[in-house]
Amino acid sequence: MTSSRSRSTPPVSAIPPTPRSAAQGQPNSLVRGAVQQIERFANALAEVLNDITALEVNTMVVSTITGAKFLPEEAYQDLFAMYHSHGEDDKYQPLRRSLESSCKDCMHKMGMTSVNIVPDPNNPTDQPIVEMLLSDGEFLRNLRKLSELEALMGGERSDQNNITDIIYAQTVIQLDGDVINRFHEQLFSDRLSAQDKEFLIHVHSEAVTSGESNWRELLKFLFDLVQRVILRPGRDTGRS
Amino acid sequence: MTPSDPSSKLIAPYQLGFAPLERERSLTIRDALAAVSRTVTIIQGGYRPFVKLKAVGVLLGQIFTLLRVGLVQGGKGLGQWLGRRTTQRSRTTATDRPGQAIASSDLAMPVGEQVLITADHGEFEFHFTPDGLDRLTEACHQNRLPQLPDQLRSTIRQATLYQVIPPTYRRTRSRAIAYAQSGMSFCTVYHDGKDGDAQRIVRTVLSIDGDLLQQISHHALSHPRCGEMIAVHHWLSGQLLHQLRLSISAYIDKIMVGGSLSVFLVNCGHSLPLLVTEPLLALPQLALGAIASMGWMVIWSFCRAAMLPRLNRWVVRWVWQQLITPQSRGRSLAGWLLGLQ
Repeated sequence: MTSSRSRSTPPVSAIPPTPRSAAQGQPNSLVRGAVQQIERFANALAEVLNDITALEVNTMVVSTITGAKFLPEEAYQDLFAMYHSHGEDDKYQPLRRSLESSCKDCMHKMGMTSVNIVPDPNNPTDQPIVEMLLSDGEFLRNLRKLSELEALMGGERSDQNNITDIIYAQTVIQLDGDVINRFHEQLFSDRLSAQDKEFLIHVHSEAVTSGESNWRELLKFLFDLVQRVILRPGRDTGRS
Repeated sequence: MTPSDPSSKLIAPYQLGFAPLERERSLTIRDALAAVSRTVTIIQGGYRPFVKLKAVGVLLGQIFTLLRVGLVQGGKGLGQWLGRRTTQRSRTTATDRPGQAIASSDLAMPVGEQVLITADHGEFEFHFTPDGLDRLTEACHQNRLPQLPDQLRSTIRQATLYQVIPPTYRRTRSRAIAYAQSGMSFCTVYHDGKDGDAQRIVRTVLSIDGDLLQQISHHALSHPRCGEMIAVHHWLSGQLLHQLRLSISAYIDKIMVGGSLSVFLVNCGHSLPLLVTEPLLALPQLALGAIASMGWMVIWSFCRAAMLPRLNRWVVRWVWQQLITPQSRGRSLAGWLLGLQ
């Protein structure tokens, strides 16, 4: 491992769905494209507000943490493959339905139509639609969650006594103040030792506390940026 | 999900330092400047004349303190910079020596570095040894803030906004592409000091829409220090996110203090030959230099409230625009700005 740190960041073409306009155009169109992208980006972040209904914390024990990274194109490709290859498998039905619903909602929102409910990333006709889908923040967030679940379902689960890859505890803190806790029945079975049960509940409550605080900081930073970019000087809040 | 490329995992390892405790902390430029601002507010406010006169006296003292702190902090900064340069050289030497690194199949840590953070396209990993865990647990209990390197701070801020996929990770391999960030992931990797094994203990994925997924490794449950590791994991990820907020105004203040010091130093430079030959004659010039510096600071303090919000907004807009355009020079500068504390 080298100790030198590179200060350069990888060159970015653009934020889709207009990746080429900024990279290929003249300086004026470049600036115009960048401004449009800023607005689109700011709007996408502002849209997150609509999605925020609750904070949901899930704690699970997994057989292994792979260190895999989320790459939207690859994740979509994998989910598309799962959608077709495991069509008859009951285990994958909820995932298939979620993928269909995400694609349908996003295409409806963008006013697009496709022959396939889940557009084929390898089909040249569907590729622009896939690019458009991946440019949508809400779709990307859903894709990430589905991808995480799909990665977990890929493991061997033949052993019924398997205690891994299970969501043991879930806490939902709703905006209106309601807090819902759900626990998996395995948490109360004999398969886990009393010590492990206590430990899991403890780390889950730790995750809820830290998750709430981290999420708040993340939102503060994002909305501060959005506010500074969107607000006109006349509507100055006076904050520096 | 795509398996990560091991060689790219440690592209940017950052060493973690810790800020001094509150009781150990000395006066900073920010503190001194805040004191000056408070006094200026009193002078501007509707107070009685003798209160204002007293505040002017206090202001003179505070400006001297500000100059002193500026000189001390500047010297410290220079010392740290020189120290970092020396450490970098020694780190390169240490890693070059065979057999001196704790190595495993997919991860490697140079000897002597107890806590490392890697950042890879929105995926952050905390690597630590048993000693590093001790140090982090102690820092966590003492509520000692970690001092994040500027570039790591910049990386986190950029990662909260978008995810850049380099051409090597794309099927077309044509160009890098940026997506709106869908979530940030933090993973803790424990390097056991005895056999050099690296084990992923816990991973959390935080989505902007409020979903948090916490994955705990089954093997880690039996580890005697699992609880400590998870606590440290949450504390560390919290510390990264708690330092997100950007305060460009603090830096503009520093630039102004730098300007004030420059005025004073240039004046001193002019008076130096006279100071050597006729010290008494040089004193009025030095006093004039000090008064000019104070004038600069007072004018800035008065202008601050009117100018700073607009300037700040303009800077943020510019930074954002640069980050998502392909002009590399502007992007580098914007990246540097985002790394400011």
